[in-house]
Amino acid sequence: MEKGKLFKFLPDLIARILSFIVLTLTFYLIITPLGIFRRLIQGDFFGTGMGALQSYWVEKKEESSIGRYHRQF
Amino acid sequence: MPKMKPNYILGISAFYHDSAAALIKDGEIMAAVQEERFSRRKHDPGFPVNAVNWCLKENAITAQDLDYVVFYDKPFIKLERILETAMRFAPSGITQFMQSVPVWLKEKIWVRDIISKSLGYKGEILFCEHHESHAASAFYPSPFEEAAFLTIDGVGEWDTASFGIGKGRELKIQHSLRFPHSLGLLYSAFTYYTGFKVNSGEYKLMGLAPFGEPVYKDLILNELLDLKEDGSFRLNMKYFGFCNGLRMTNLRFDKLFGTKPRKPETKIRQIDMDLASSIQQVTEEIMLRIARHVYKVTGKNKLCLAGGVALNCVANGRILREGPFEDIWIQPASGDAGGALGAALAIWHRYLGKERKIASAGDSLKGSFLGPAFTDDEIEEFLKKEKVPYEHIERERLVDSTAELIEKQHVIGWFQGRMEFGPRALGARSIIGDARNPKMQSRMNLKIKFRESFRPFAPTVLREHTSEWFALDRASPYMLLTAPVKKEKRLEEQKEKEGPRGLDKLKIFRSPIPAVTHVDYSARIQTIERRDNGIYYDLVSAFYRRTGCPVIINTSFNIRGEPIVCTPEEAFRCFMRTDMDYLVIGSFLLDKSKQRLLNEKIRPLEYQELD
Repeated sequence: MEKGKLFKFLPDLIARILSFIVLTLTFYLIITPLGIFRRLIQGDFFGTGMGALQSYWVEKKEESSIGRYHRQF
Repeated sequence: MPKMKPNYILGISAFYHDSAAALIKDGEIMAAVQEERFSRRKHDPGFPVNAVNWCLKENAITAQDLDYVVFYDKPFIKLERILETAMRFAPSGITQFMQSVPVWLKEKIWVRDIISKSLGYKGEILFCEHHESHAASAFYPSPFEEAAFLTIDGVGEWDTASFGIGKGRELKIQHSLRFPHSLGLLYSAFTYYTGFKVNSGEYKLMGLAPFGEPVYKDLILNELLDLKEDGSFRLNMKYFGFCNGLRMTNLRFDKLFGTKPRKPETKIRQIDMDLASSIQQVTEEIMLRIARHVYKVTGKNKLCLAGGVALNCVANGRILREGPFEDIWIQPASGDAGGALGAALAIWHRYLGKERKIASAGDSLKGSFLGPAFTDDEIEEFLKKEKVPYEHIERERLVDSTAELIEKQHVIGWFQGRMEFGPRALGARSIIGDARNPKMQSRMNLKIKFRESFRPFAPTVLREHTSEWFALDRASPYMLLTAPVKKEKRLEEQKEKEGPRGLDKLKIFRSPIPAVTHVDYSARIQTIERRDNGIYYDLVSAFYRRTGCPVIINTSFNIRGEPIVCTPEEAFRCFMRTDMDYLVIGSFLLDKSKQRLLNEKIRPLEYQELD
């Protein structure tokens, strides 16, 4: 085996494994409970129910300040 | 008095599909181009560094001369949508979460840094909302002083459609539809299900629709969505997989239509054609209802359209013919690429409050010829370097000779002037041929474009002769409207009624211009006037003088899976590797029969993943 080859791909492998673990934990320990909680409290918070309204158009309220263009949100 | 420094604004769209850059100078559109034309990767989603560099170089400026750089959407709101979607569907949807979040953390939330570092730019970086960028790209370059606008696409941050009013420099977005209820995503779901590539094959589905019958229209309307009279709707999410899976549709969807999705590149089935026809009719129905609602709410009699769904030229044609608006204008780069231009224009008019100047004739988009051009000297240098046999011809003789070659049933690569911005070739990077030849459609599809045999070709028609051939009474310079071939020009309608089904419909000879008459007698029309593109207009006029036919075939200068050619080298390579007979490039004519074997030093075409 070429010298040092192990350490060429090891950091990447560790990063991938760690990333997988962190994301899995985030999904099941944070996203899922939050989602269940919000569904219980807020009901159809995502607006997926059908037939509930006369129209599905949502009124847009644009911020008048041009400061909005400086933000990424 | 010292000369005022011009104001330059650079718009950028990136990281989803069809990345692009656009540059405006004191509000005038100077340059706009998609990154794919440089990277040669179709629908390239990467940061458009080549497109930006070209825009700057073309205008002889550097990044330091830019007053503002503006990004076409708000990345953090998009991320919020992704997290909220994950919450709504959790614990299902982990695969999608695992796939999307790392990309966001690595790249998409660092837009400001990426722009600064890639361009070496230290000035202000601004952010527009996605649908605001589309709306601005639709209204500001339009020829209307005031108009309603409508934007429809897959999804921006949260919005999937929006409408409002544009007047002078003002733009007011009034209402929107929100994710996951999206006409673009509904259409893409059927694109996926019928075996085409999402965000790329939607126009194939539209082309396939006339081969089928709309037998599933009611099922779609009853089961897949709740459509209101005002065109607003909600999707029945139990049939779709795009929120919590890696597929657009799920097993319930398969069960509803009684089959599995078609595998890409397998034979197209009757059900695929029927589904295409059905979803196309549903799309048209929704767009017509929305158009009527927008008219009612805004009270304006002109409409500007943008967003990926606005590339559905069949629906656009119906809005024009059956809708309430007096006139409509559609942004030719309606997809995300056009967002770069819209964002720049929004900053000029909305952020800086600068007045809008309406073009004295037509719109202010310069025919959409906003990309790179090459001089005769540059072209000749390439031809000489590669020892390519060519003939130099003066312009007047060039159009006559080319018209003669078309009349003799040759297929011509046509490379002239600035490249088009947007997905359509409009006579700058086109492959052209005789629309009267019934075999031309199949020859161009199979031997030149290497694409599916059912795909229709579009006609270019002299503006002044449009209404003699098509049921269209106005200009359509960007090939974004379909209209029927005039009844008096139709042939064999009786045979049609008794006639064949599915792809066998291609065997009927429908009009004197069969190569551009689709199986439902429609055509995706490009009208041409001298002010749009002088040399191309002269070419079609010369063909008309010779033949009495003011119509030719115009298709994009590329092969399947490859972006439209940008440079003389790419045009030459495409010419040599297909069954094209002649290449007219600048003032030079290349005859295939006189070419020696392709010089292998010229980089071969990189056959991309099929689209």
